[in-house]
Amino acid sequence: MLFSSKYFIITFFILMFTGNIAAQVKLSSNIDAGENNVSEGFCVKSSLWGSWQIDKIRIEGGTQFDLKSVNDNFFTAASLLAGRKFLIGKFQFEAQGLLIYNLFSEPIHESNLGILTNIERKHFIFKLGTEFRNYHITKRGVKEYDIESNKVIHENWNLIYLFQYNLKPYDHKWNIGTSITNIDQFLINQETNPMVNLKGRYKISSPLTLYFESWYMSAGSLNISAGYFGYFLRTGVIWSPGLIK
Amino acid sequence: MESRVNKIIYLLIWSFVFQACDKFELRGFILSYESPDRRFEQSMKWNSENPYKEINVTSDDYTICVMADSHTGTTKNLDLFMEQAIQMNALAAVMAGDITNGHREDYVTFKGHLPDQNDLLTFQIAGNHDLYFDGWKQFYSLFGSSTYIFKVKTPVASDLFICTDTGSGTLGSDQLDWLKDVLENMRQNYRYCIIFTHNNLFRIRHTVSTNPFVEELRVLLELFLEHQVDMVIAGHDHEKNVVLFGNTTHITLDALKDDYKNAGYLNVFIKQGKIDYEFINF
Repeated sequence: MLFSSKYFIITFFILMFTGNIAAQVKLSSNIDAGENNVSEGFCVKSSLWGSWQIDKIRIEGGTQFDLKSVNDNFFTAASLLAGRKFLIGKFQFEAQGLLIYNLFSEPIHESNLGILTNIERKHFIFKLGTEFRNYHITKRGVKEYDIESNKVIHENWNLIYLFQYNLKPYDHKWNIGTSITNIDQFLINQETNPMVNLKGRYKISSPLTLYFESWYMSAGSLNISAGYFGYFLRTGVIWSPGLIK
Repeated sequence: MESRVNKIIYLLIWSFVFQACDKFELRGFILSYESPDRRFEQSMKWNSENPYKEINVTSDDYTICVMADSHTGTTKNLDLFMEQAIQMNALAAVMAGDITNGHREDYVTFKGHLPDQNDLLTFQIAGNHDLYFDGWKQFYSLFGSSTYIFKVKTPVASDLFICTDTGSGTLGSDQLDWLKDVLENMRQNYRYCIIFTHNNLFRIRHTVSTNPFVEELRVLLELFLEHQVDMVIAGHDHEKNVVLFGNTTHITLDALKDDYKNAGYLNVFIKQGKIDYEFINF
């Protein structure tokens, strides 16, 4: 896992500092506010995102900070995504590699390494992929709770999916969309626990876009007599200045 | 257009077939009749009128038999389980959910096949199937609480057993607070701590069965690590599995139901001061 992470980061910085290539840069920031069965009341999180696109290659990185939560940590997650667009005949898609690292407590962390296909059409976005999750006990946890073995649990080949419908074409000044998915910025849920959301965005001026999302989380589906798990609202701004050399 | 109409017709037929099946209920799939918080509230009310059981044993060694997913209906394996538990002089039997398919007649059948409590103490937990067809009302009227503890006191130590309700795929916020409180305030007074629940926590193999939401799982893992929970025993997935994480052994049981080819249960032994387990298959 560390080996893979190292190459992700090296590629990320090489592309980031390749000065003589025109890159499409995008920066965004958002705040999530909501509550769920484990949040012990209202919780607020914020995240910062940077994205660099050079020709067919895209690198995206993000960090999450808990502003109000029961979490021990302030810095609670990081995500790195590398994608490349392909065209086979008339079929265009993007292959993505994904790494998410969650520091949800001092003694236990979670990491997700995934690959997925992203297909964007005029009104639809589909994502399909798989990921490998592990929960591991940190050095601090090992020391504090006297753990000698069994420090990691692996959950392999988890399905990732997203089906999104947008009312307007992708580059329209404003848009409203809805999706069902098991993936969010720093969370990959089990495939059996889909989340549904309603999204809206509005381009204020050329580089700035405001967006708003409302998410509902169910504790299960299909074979479970499902209960409510939680909800959150998200609002953010995207700064996309165009090509930067 | 014709294709779209066909799809809608297929979907409607599928929904009706699904609805007609006596093991599944479309409404129950989508939403619980009662929220987990509501069931927890009722369980606590029952607990306040029926204090937690403390079982005193004269020997240091004892056995607890655990089964899940009997899905009564039929009772061949259920009867076998009870018979073997009594034969081996088990201290108690825990039934970790999906004991019925939620129908009233299933509950009546199940209750009718339970042994006399003087022969074998039994503890029940609700699973998702027990909640279908408005089944919680039957569960509550026959067994009462689905969230409680029981204690076993031997001449040398006391052990704590915690039963939790994850029939809706989540503990719910109130039951989670209760679990935290029990672990924080009681755990240190006991030698071993075993948690029984219906939903298995980890997704080690791929099935359509549902696990708790990732954010809930994170909280539970930290709680179990911090409070040195020895075992978490669950059903739901119908196929046995053992995962070790830190000092906690997470066990998923084979289903006990009659038509399952590897039907079985689990014996938990406390023997010579140590904790051990054994899967039994029919």
